Amino acid sequence: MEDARGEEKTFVVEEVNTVIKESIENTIQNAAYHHNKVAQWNSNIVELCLKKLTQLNKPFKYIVTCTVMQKNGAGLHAASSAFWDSTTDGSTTYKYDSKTMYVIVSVFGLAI
Amino acid sequence: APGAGNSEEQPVSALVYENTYKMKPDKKFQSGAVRRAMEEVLQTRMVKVKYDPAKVPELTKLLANEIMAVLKQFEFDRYKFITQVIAGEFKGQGIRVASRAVWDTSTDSYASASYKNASIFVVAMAFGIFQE
Repeated sequence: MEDARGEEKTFVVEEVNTVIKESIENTIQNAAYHHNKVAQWNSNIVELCLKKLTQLNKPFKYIVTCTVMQKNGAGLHAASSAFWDSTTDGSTTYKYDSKTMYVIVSVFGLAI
Repeated sequence: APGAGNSEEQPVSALVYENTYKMKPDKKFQSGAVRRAMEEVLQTRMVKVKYDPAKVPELTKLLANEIMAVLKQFEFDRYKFITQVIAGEFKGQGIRVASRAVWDTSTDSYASASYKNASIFVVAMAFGIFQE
């Protein structure tokens, strides 16, 4: 497909998923849940994700949401709904499971 | 005859909008008003709700759709919306939700609201992005 800029203008889910996975693994690195560290981890994951996403150099605005929850036998549900241009915009949610916690990262990409 | 290739008719494609050349929205996303509206929705829907693993998925989707409907009522023109609702059982565990975005700070914004009772907690986030 010929494109004047040589870049894709639609949201590519697999690429974004790889970015998210790397960001989470780099930040948490198999650590256990610690109440005082969670704030730091949360900020780090989100910032790292956003930095890597912007490095992809695509004409997109991004929203990254990260939820970290301790494993306590409690249930958790997340739902999202969006009002956008479905031909160009997309979202992905990545779930990461460690022994002591759950990490859920959602990325929404909206074309400029 | 339909489909016979009438040469006088042009195929009707989707409506083509002309450029408005507007760089900024007429009505900007008002986080305060949206937040109040979201809190109202949560209050009315979550009163006396107990965590039930069978019902909560439906409830989360319902909340997301309702908040989306509320956002559309505000009539922010040329805005795209994203709503996210997180609901969980309250068992004394720790949880943290954070979000960050790369967008145009002069036109785009967000609003969030949360609700908690003895057995369940709900966090709702709404983002408004201007379509340039």
